[in-house]
Amino acid sequence: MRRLAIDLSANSIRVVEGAMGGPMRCGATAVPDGAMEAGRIHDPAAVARELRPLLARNEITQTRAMVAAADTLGTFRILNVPTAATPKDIDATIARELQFDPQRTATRWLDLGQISGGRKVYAVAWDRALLKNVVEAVRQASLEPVVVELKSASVTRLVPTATCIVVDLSRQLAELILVDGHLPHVWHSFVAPEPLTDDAAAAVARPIRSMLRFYRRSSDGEWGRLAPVFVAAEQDLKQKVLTGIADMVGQPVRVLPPPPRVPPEIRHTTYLGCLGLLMRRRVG
Amino acid sequence: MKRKQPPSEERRRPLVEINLVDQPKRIDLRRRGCGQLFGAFVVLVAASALALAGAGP
Repeated sequence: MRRLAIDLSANSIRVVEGAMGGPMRCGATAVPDGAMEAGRIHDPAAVARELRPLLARNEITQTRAMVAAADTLGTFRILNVPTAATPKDIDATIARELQFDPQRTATRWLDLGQISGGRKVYAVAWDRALLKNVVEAVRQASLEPVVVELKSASVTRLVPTATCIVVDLSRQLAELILVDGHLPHVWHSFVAPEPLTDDAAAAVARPIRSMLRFYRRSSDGEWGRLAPVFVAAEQDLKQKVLTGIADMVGQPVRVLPPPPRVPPEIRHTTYLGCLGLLMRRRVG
Repeated sequence: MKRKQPPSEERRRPLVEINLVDQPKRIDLRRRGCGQLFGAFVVLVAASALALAGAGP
C-alpha cells in the first residue's frame, strides 16, 4: 500500500510517496528564511506554501501523511521500569526523569515489554505549541497528518545493526542518534563542517566522542568496541575522512548502507526520515 | 516436515511507534475491568432511590 511520508525535521521539506519494495516518488525543497529554525516551525503557512507545489511537482496524490518532526520539538528516553510497575508508577518515573513544564509540554509513553532481561518504556515529551505548528503546516497543505513522530524514531528503523551511532550530515544541522538494542537512546545535533574535506574528521568525531562518553557514564553499560558508526552525507565521503573519524572515536566508521527494498534511484541519505516512516508497521 | 523458521531480524526489533497526534487510549479503564464503572452505576442508582424515597408522600 502506498503511503506518504514527510520529513519536516530540518529547515527543508522532504517527501516520499510509495511503499518499501515498491516504486517511490520523492522530492525536496527548502523553506523560506524564518519559517523554520532548527526544525521548529514558526510559520506554518509559509511551510504549507512550499509543501503544496512540491507534492504537485512530484505527482504525489496521497492525502494522509506520516510526518517526521525534529527532535528539537521535545525529548525522549528509554526507561528501565520494574516489571510490576503500574501506568501510574511509569507516569511518575517520566515526570522525574523528563523535567518539563506540564503547561507547555505533553508526554506519552510506550511499553516495550521485556527486553534484555528488563521491562523498558519509550517515553516522549514534546512542546505542544511546536507540534501544533507541524500539524498546522501539514493541514494547510490540504493533507491529513495521521502520524507524527520524532525523526530519531524513524531513522532507528533503518539501521542494519542493533547497536550503532548514526551521523546524519545531509543538512547543515547534523544529527547524531545513538541506537542500542534497536532502540534510540540519545539524540544530539551539531553544526556540520562544510565542506567535508579531510579536516572535517575532527569536527565530526568530537560530538561522537562526547555522546559515547555520556552514554557509557549514564547507562553503566558497555559500548562494544565493534559497534559501528554509520555516516550519511549528501556528498561521497573520502575514505580518509572515515578513517580519521574511526581513529579519533575508536569505533569502526562506515557509510550508512541503503536500507533494503529501497529503489536505487532514491537517494537514501536525503530521505532517511521519510524511509523510516514508510517502515512503520502502524499507521494512525 | 516444514521446519519452523527462526524469527527474522526485522521481526525481532522492538516497535518504537508512538504517534504524537494520536488520542491517548483509555487503557486504564480496560486494564482495571468494569469494576469501577459498575461501582459508579450502583452509587448512581442508590442516590436516585434515596432521592425518590425522600420525594415520596
